[in-house]
Amino acid sequence: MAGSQKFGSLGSEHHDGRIPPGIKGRSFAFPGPLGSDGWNLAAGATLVNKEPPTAHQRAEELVRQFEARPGGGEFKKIARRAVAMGLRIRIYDPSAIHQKVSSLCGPAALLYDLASRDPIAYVNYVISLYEKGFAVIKDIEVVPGIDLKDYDPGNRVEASDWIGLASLRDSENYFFDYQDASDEFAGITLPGELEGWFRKVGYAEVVNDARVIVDQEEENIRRANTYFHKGFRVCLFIHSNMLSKSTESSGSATADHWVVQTAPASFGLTVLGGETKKTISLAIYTWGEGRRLVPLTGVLALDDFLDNYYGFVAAKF
Amino acid sequence: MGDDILPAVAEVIERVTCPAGRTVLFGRMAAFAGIAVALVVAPPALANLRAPVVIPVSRSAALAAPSVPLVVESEALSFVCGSDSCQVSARYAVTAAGPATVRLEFILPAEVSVTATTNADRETVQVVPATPLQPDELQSLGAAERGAPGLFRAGFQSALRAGPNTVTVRYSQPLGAEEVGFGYGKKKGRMVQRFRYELWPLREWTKSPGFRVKLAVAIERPAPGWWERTLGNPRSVTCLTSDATAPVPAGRLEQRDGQLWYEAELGPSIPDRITCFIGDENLMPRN
Repeated sequence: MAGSQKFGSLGSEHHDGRIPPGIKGRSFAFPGPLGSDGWNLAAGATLVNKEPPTAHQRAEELVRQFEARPGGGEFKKIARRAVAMGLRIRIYDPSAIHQKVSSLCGPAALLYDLASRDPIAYVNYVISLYEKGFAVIKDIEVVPGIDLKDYDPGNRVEASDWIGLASLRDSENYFFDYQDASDEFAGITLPGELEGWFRKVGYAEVVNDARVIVDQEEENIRRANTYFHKGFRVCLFIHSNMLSKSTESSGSATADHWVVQTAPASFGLTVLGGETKKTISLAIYTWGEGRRLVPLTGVLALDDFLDNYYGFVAAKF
Repeated sequence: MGDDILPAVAEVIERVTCPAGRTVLFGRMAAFAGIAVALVVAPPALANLRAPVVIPVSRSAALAAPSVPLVVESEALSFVCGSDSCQVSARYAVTAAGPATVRLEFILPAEVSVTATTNADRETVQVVPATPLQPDELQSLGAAERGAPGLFRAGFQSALRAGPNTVTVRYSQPLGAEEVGFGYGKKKGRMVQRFRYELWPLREWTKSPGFRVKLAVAIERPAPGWWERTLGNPRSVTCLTSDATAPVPAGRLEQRDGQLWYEAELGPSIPDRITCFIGDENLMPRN
């Protein structure tokens, strides 16, 4: 390997050609394709795997560098290591993003999308928030307040999720200060806002056909499903009654939850109580589960589904 | 925020006031009335609920078919449930063409003590982590709720005689639970407990024409008084199958001393799995 030549960079750090300590690739040996072309070329003689690193591997390397840096961050009560641990899991499993006790399902839907589509941007977003106290996702500037940064989420919300989700919510709130996992009203995300976020993060086509207080008709969910088939990211605005077998047949007055569709909806017919009824089933991301089934078991009458369904926001990059 | 609410309110007004395409209320008064109605009807309207409290559901499975062909005549499956787990008993009536010693295995949800008997003889049972899962197991058991405990595999040698035999396994299955009915202002919802039992391993068995699974689930419940029966929500239990064409087994409930028993018979078509729910009567799923 070249000794004095400067090779490659990851973020702001430059390598001198020596193997940085602690590098552990997933499917490649070091010196591997972690840096720029110069780094790769210099390492060429001993390169084991010439495939360029995947986005996931690059994101993982960013997390490793983040974890190795000394000192705490802007979120004073959250340890750097805890953030790194959470990010590592979420790079490979974005559905691990979990609002838990917080009212942050809207931001969760957006960050689930970001982590799935662009793990490097997702990791950079959380790292920047932690280290600099602000972050940018394309046209969204996220600057959380001091109260939020001083909050200790403990085990109420996972560290990297608190930083990513609560910061977005707090920064985007005009009137309400989001600073505590139990801030319910300050946590709300309305359809127009989610639509705006998708536009700001660079989605070229965004369709918002959701409303807060009147449930939708069959045509709406069929259209959402058509968008899903066309490769749109589809977020469904629902009442959480839909997610439990115990409450799925209970209607609702308003929406209270965002979920992300992760499998096509299928429509069918079944006989319930002597009556032939239309049914629906689909899979969604919510509450830390990437493919939660709706219904969880048995069947869900389409009428019952619609009683808790308030529309969708669909976006295509 | 207002940008989003107003069209929705307007739509409510439109729907409230124009059910047949004719305006019933007028102008600004209608708007104010509509907004008032919307605010009264939907005070907790605006979205984003916290996640429910969840204890991941636990899963166990029927005996996998042995390599030696046997005919299974019936399975009597009972769950006697306490506050956080159920004592499971699965009793199989099997017919062997001749004397045979077969290895029998099944999946269980925790590293717990398992009792297995063949006729009256107690067998030695090994319980090991179920890794890796077999392909068919992976398909049905691979996707678990986040945080679900790992699965284990129990195995034992069963010495069968020619003709009818009874093989019984007993173990404890933890109850999962999910909070429902929580919301703004109501910090805590009510918990509905659940467990899951996989019946698909029975597909590989040679089953007698009259094969049925006799399911029984018991929960602790003192007999409710008139007041509770009429106005309250006493604890109850029900089970659903994974069969979309027949999700609700023809089950019945019966109070026996301090227990409520749910009993159902599954067959001749056996669903891949059953999921049973324990909780307040008005939280029991219907289909």
